[in-house]
Amino acid sequence: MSANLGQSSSHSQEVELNITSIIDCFTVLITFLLASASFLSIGVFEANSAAPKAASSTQDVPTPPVEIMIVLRNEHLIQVELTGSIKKKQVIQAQAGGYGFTELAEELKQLKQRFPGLSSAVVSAEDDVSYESLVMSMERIRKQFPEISFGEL
Amino acid sequence: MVSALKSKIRSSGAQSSEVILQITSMADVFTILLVFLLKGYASGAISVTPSAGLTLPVAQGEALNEEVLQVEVSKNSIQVGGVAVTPLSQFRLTQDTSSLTSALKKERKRRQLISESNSEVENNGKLLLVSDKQVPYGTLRAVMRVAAEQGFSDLKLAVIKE
Repeated sequence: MSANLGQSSSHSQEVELNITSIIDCFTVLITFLLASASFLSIGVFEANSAAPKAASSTQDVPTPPVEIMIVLRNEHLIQVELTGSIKKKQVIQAQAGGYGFTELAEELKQLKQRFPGLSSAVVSAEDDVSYESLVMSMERIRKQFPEISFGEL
Repeated sequence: MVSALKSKIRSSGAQSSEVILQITSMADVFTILLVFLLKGYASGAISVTPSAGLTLPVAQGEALNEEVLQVEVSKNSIQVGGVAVTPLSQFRLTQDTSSLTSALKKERKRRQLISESNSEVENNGKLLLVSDKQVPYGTLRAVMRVAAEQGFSDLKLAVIKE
């Protein structure tokens, strides 16, 4: 921050910039910003409630040939149910004391290959299933079926 | 910095005791920190601050880029816009959801009035659900049902990004 002005001349003058006040300002600003900054990055999942979804399906939107419903049950069981032109019910058993989310992802991948035009799925759960399990299942479901709605059992 | 100080002391003579600190590098560090922090503020993402003791689940979520009504479900209460409206006991409802219904109805009406007077504000029925990872689906279902009845059917579930 120091500069030598007129070095070529015989009377050289050293000028010192006083940046103490700037440092003071910076310290106050940084303290304020650090105190109010959030270092946790929060994201969101999009989902719809079941009731408005049902209302919109009565309009001009064509009904898909099948509907997929994924139900998280107690005892770490996942039920994948197809309704519509094809009816099928499959239960994914618990894996290592938890939900079989890997098997669910594989099953949903196969369903997507079978019905490539299908983009929605309905998710539901029994009352005691935790929000964390629900989010973990939704994370797998939205990779194949991005439009997720919550349904009733 | 030490050598600069020494030379300064040497050049100032034996009797002078004036010491000048070199704070240029400190100013540089502060400038970089300030730019970094200000850039974080200008990213456009809405900041969500959950209550103390609330643990969000971890997942791959998208950024929240719009201001929406926040409903928080924690161990002891359901909060609408930061105000506790319904008590909970160990994440479970102990009474009916009439207080939650009236709070959401009031909020819906307020947003309707704002959107009528300000065209930039949209009354889009979006709701951010900030819920503890231990909350049972039974409690969440009750909250979501009340929200849908009051026109908040477009849900956004808050998670901590992986």
